[in-house]
Amino acid sequence: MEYAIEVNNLVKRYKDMLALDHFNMSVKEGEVFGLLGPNGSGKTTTINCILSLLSYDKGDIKVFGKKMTSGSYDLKRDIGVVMQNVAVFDELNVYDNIDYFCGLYIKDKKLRAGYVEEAMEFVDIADYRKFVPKKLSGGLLRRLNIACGIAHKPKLIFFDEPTVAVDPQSRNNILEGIKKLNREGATIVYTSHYMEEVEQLCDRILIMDKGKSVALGTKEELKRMIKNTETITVEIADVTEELLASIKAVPHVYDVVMRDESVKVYFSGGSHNIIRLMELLKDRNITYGRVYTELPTLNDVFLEITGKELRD
Amino acid sequence: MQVFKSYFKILRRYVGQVLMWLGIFIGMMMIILNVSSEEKTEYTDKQCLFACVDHDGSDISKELTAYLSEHHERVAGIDEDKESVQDALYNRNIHCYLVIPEGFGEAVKAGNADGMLKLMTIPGTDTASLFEGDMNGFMQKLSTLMAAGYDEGEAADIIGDSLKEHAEVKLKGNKSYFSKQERLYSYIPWILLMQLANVITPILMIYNKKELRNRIECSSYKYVNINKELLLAVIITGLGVCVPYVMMDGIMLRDNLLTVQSGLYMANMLVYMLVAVNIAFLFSKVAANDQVVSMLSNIVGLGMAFLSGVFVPMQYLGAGVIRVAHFLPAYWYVIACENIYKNGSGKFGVTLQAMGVQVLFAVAIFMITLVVGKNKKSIQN
Amino acid sequence: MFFHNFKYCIKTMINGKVTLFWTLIFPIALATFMYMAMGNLMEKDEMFKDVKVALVEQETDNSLMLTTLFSSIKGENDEALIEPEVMDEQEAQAALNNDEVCAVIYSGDCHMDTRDENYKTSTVKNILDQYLQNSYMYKKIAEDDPDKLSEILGSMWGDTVFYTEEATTDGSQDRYNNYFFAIFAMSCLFASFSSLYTTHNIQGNVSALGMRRNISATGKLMIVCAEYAAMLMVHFVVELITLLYMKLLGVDIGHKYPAVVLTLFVGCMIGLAMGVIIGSIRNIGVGGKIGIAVGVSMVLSVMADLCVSGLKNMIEMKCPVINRINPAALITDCFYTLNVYDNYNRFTKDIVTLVIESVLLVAVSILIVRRNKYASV
Repeated sequence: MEYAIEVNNLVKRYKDMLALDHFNMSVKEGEVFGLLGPNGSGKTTTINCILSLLSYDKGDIKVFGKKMTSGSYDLKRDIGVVMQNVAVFDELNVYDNIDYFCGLYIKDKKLRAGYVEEAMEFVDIADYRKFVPKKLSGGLLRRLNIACGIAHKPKLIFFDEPTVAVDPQSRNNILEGIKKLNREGATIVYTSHYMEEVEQLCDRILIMDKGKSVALGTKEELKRMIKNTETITVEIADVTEELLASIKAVPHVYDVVMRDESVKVYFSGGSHNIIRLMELLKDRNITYGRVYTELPTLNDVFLEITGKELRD
Repeated sequence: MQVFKSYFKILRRYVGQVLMWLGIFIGMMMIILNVSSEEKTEYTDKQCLFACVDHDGSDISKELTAYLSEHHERVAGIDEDKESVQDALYNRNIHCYLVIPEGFGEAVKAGNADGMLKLMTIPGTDTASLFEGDMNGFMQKLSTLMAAGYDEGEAADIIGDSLKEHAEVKLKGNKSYFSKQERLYSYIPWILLMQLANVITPILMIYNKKELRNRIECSSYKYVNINKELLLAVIITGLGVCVPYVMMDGIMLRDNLLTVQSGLYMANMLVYMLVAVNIAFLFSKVAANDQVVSMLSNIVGLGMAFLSGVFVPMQYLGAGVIRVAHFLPAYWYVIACENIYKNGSGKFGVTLQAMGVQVLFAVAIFMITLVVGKNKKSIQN
Repeated sequence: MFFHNFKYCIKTMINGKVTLFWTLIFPIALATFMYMAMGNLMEKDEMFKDVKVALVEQETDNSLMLTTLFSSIKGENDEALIEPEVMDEQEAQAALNNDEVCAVIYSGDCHMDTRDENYKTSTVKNILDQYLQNSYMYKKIAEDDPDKLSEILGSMWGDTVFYTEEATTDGSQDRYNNYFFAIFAMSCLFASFSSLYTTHNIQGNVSALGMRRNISATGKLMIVCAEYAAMLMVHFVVELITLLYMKLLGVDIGHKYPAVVLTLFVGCMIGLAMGVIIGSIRNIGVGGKIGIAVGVSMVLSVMADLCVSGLKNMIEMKCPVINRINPAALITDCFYTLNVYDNYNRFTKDIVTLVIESVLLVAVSILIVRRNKYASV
């Protein structure tokens, strides 16, 4: 198995604070790898260390099997980054911005011209080629930011929270675009604190907190790590202790919580749990309102492992 | 008074600018006021700065250098090489450099000393004229007396005796002299405009931002009150900016602020403050951002300062420039200042007229600003 | 990669008009205002010509003598430098108050009224003094040695000129030219705004653009060199335009144009180098860096006579080493020496100093910025 990125035992300190604590990460070539964690967990620090933007205190980093340093221009040729902050020239129009950044990687003018057109088509910004950044909306600006990062067709692309403050339509476009890039062969490292995006996009996910890796695997593997496999919520007006006790006795139920006028029932394992629960309520002639079932999310995984929510 | 209070909260961010310009002004004033001349009631002869090297060493050359040293100021330490002399002349460290060649004394006695003295100077200048006239006059007298049979000592005595004779001069006022107080106030047009344009304009621009303006306008706060409060805040800013200059007058220059003359200076300054505030107001309607404000204030401020007699006294400005300056409010400010200096409260009509013209300028600029503002708003909407 | 960065740097400079304003429009505007206000200052302030005096006739012999005396003061081209006009007292006083004449001379006792104590009036007074002193000497000699009187009469006012006036240069001695030289210096130093932005935007820990460029496949040194070359070219063209404008305006910068052009080129180099070193200062935002660039440029230019004439000379007398290293003073000195000296010795020294300073500043900056591994971004 070829690895695009190998991070071993990475330690990074900011004065007294330990930002990365013996952090390990491996990203396979061709996969979409998610880096999930709350704000301040070390996601951006990890990316910046891999890109040799930041110094680190200990550990080693390899990209495509070679040691990554700030002078590794051959490796940098194959890396693209879409940063959290929009990094474009206010004085240049859309076309010139993309052409400029592509030109830092591709010398050949003709080849580059083709790449720039493709990048503009890819993010659907070709109609705005003569516009300067201050005339673009937030979503378009983000798309321009992406185009600048991927125009040179890199093999490894980092997306660092690319959908922050973006409208839902543009967000979908961005996520679809990323999937397309992956289909075309690029390895993607995607960082976010929006678990829905990570779940939707990523093959494997690493959850980190306080500079450490907390869990790693596919989303199914991660969800299997925790006790909860299903949560059923039933709207019940009159809840008695006896009712709660009898719900708790249903097979695979490990917890029952009353919240407002609903009862949340937590299952660990089992199948057709909803049928058993409905039968119990029917037998007891309990009047109930809406019933809905939820599968565990990565937030649940994070919550169970760390005791905190992913989103602050 | 929400708008009024918010204005001053924002103003805190710009206090640094005000202090920076005040610091620049104080620095400038310390240099300018130090080199200003003293007021004279009695005429004294101007002395040229000269350097001299005597290769002759004769009695005649010594008499000459003694005479010149008595009537002008001799400067030592300048080498005879062309470049040193050139530098000294250019910088007006000296006005003339005299070289007395060997054999000069003998040549004078023989009566063929024409053109022997080498005088390095800037030809055609009044200092050169004065020095040459004085030196040549002395040598003419000396050589004539010696030709008539007097020896150099006797000739020098006769000349020395005659020096008691000189023309009486009555100094009827000193045209180029202005008091330090007048100098201080005459720079106000430039500094006030720079300060107010770089403080009031950016703040007003914040209130002019479309989103912010819309939010304020759709609140229950009356539109009239918004403008009244902004106007009051702006006037208070203008007044506040003027205070340090009055304090400078009282503390640095130790002028009596309670005299009519000081009062007139302050009144003139306050009138110009109104002009500057309105210019700042106009800038807020036309400038797109703070950088444009800086550009506009520098161009307008410096332009007015140079053309209206602020940086360069009006007596040195050409007739064409003076004609153009009539259309600048700073010109009228300077006219008022000069009249206040020369006549105090006398010829008050001139001062009043000049202040009145400034008020008219302030009103005109205000009207233009309203029109520009209205146009801009309708374009934005 | 070099020409790619070169091309885009020029584009951003031309599109981002702020720096162009400060390096081109502002100096041109300032020069225009200065020229309008001070263009003829030396003529009016220092040149001795068209000196008008009013002569109030009280004693006829004296009047004739004085009129002849004043009219005999001639310039290089034999033009009369003093214009005496006979008037009655009232007329003369009115002319004095209206600045139509600089002095009123009463031919009776040869006393003088004036409103100004300057070299012009002192020259007029000097002529009066000599007239009185010569008259006194005639009387004295007539009393003491009457046989010598005939030899002396007339000769005192002889036309022997004992000196040869020598100009030390063919160039202009108008020291108000310093203001215009200082405008060139200021404009060159304002080039620091451009290079400051570039250096700021190449550092990964201060701007998003810097981050993006740091991780690109083009080395920082290549980017900086290409952009420096572009900025140098643009600013040099700007300075040439300013030079052309000043020439059209009528500012005297001599005739050694190749050397003047070289001065401007090197001036741009030092301005850019200043911006490079300011841009590489850590822990200050771009606004703060601009403030430093403006402050440093203005202070150095003021010390080279931008606003106050004579400051550079004062520094030269009190602490000359400052003028030897102040880039603005060196630039104005280049203009000065080209204007007035007939050799290039001092000019060469100034240029070499400027080049060394540029290289040093850029070298130090490169050491700071190059291969920077950031502790935090």
